[in-house]
This record gives sequence, structure tokens and C-alpha cells, in this order.
Amino acid sequence: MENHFLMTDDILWDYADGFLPNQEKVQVDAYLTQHPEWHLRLQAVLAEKRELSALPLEAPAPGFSDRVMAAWAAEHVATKAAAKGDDWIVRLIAVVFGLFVLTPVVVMVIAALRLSPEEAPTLELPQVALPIVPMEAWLDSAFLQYGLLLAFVFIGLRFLDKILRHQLAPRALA
Amino acid sequence: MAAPISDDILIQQALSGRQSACSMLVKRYEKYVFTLALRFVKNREDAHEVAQDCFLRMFRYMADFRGECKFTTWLYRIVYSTALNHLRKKTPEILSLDDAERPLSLKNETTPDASAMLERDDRNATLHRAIDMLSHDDAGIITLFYLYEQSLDEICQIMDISMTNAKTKLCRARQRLRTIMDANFSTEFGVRMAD
Repeated sequence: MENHFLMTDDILWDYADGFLPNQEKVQVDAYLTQHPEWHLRLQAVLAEKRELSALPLEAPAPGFSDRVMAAWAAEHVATKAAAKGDDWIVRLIAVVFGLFVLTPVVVMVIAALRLSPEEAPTLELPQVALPIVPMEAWLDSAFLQYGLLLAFVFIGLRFLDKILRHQLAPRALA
Repeated sequence: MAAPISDDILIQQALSGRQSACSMLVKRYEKYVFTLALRFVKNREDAHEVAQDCFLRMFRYMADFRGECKFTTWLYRIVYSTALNHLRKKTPEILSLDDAERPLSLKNETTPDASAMLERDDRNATLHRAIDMLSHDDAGIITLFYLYEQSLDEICQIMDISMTNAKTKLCRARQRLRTIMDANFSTEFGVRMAD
């Protein structure tokens, strides 16, 4: 039976690389048996493939790995130092925020301790007398409100910064 | 003789901060990374820079490697992106849309590595010179497929291209390599693949 398959160098390379589907591979096999000159070309292609696969790797300059490790160590130290700096900022923000939250409570407790039971406005409950300290002044204080707002803005920015660093850094790699 | 420590174990050790594991990974892959970098940037000095940057990126992002692909595929992807970034910064014109515009005959060009080339085996040197004349993309895909034995699927992941695109690129790279061999080294190489 006459094989009407049209052979090209690209098909031959695809055959050698194993890219051809089975049906086409069978056609190439048949063609090669009928055309020894193409069989010789296949041998040349296979030889070229072998040579490409056997090319020696290029070696970097001596001491390359040591230089890489030194660079990594330097970067690691810098990163740790930067991280320590970050921790310090976070702690400061936490302290400021904590002060704003705790101050009214502390002030309230101190005020309660300073007041004699007679002076303190009391609410008569059965067998219990609770000191009542007016909180409105503290809650209405602009100092407290702006302070809290500032603390929340700081924390929000830090949070955003962390997210951006962790989420976007791996993408930047690609 | 003890079996070599697997990549997975070295990665785990490196992630836990063991410097010796990091060092072993660098030594294990330095030639692969350097050779691929050299194929892209065509210059040993730049290839050293790219290779070092690759390893630093490898350490930085190692925690993100989840074993969804082979470690080498992940590493070569870093090499590819680092080399491309390097080329973009250094010579924007090298990334022209049509790589076919590159001159195929560079017989009169001298390279800084000419003396080193002479020391190599003739046939290897010829192939090296031919590959050096290819564009960075062509040289990269030929190296990845034939020398590093990466599958087309893995090349797609490394170069972030489709399977069809990878196959086409590989086919074109082979054709250009053959053209260069025929035009420049047919007498040296002995085999002429006439079309």
C-alpha cells in the first residue's frame, strides 16, 4: 500500500521528541521503513538530541555558593533587624492604645477610692452601696476620641501593611 | 555510601533555619541555575548576578513552595523570571516582540569567553556557540527541554505560557538552532540537516 504521508523535518523532530499522537506515529513508522533517507535523517536528529542532552553544565566561579550564603546571611540579619523594628512599633501602638482604654478605668477606680462613702453619690440597693462616678466627661473628651481614632488608624495601617507584604510579595516573584 | 538527602528534606531543614541545608541546596543546583541564567543573559558576569539573586529569592519564598510541582520546576521558574527582570532592566530592546529578527550569523563576533570555549570539546563548543547565538527565549527552552529534561507541561509552568505556545516556541527554537548550525558550523558539526 502506498503511504501518502508527507514527511517534514518538524514532524521528524516531533516524532523524536515523542510529541506525535499514536496515529501519526504509526504513519511516521511506516514512512521511515519505506524511505531509508529519512531514516538516516532520524538518526541524525536523535544524535543531535543526544548531544543537546549531554551538554556539560556551566560552572559558576569558585566560591559562588559561599558568596550566596554570605549574601543570604546579610539579608537575614537585615530582615531580623527590620522585624525587630516592626515589633517595637507594634508594641508602642499597643501601649498607647492600652493607655487610652485603661486610663478611664484607672481614673474611675482612683476617684472611687478618694471619695468618702458619704460624699459619693450612692444608689440605694438592698444591702449594697455602689459608688457612682460620672463617665460622661471622659467619654465626651475630644482628647480620648481623637486618641482612640489615631490608635485605630495606626492599627489599621499596620494590618494593611502586613497583608500587603504577605500577599503581594510572592506575586512579585512571578 | 549513604544516599543523598532528598530535596524535600533539605527544604524542610532550610525552612527550620539550618544553614547547612541552605548551603547544600545552593551547591546542588548552582550549575543548573547558573547555566540557565547564562543561556538567558549571555554573559557570565550577569549570569552570576542573576544566579545569586535566584538563590536569594529561593530562600525568601521557600515557605511558599507547597510541592505542587517539582522543586526544580519551581526553581527554574524563579531563574526565568529573575533573568527576564534582569534583561528588562539592562537591555529593554532585547525583549523585542519578534525574536526572529535576531541575526543568525555571528561568525565575526568575539565573546569574552572565547578562550574558555577553545578548551571545551569541539562538538560541545559548537553546540554551545550555536545556542549562544539564539535569543534568550529560544536558548532557554532548548536548555530546559533537552538538557534539563523538563516536560512541555513543566516548561509551561516555568515560562507561564500555554502548551501550544510552548510547543511552537520549542519547534521554532529547534529550527533556528538548525539554521544557525547550517549557516555557521555545518563543516565543524558534520551533519547538515537540509530542508
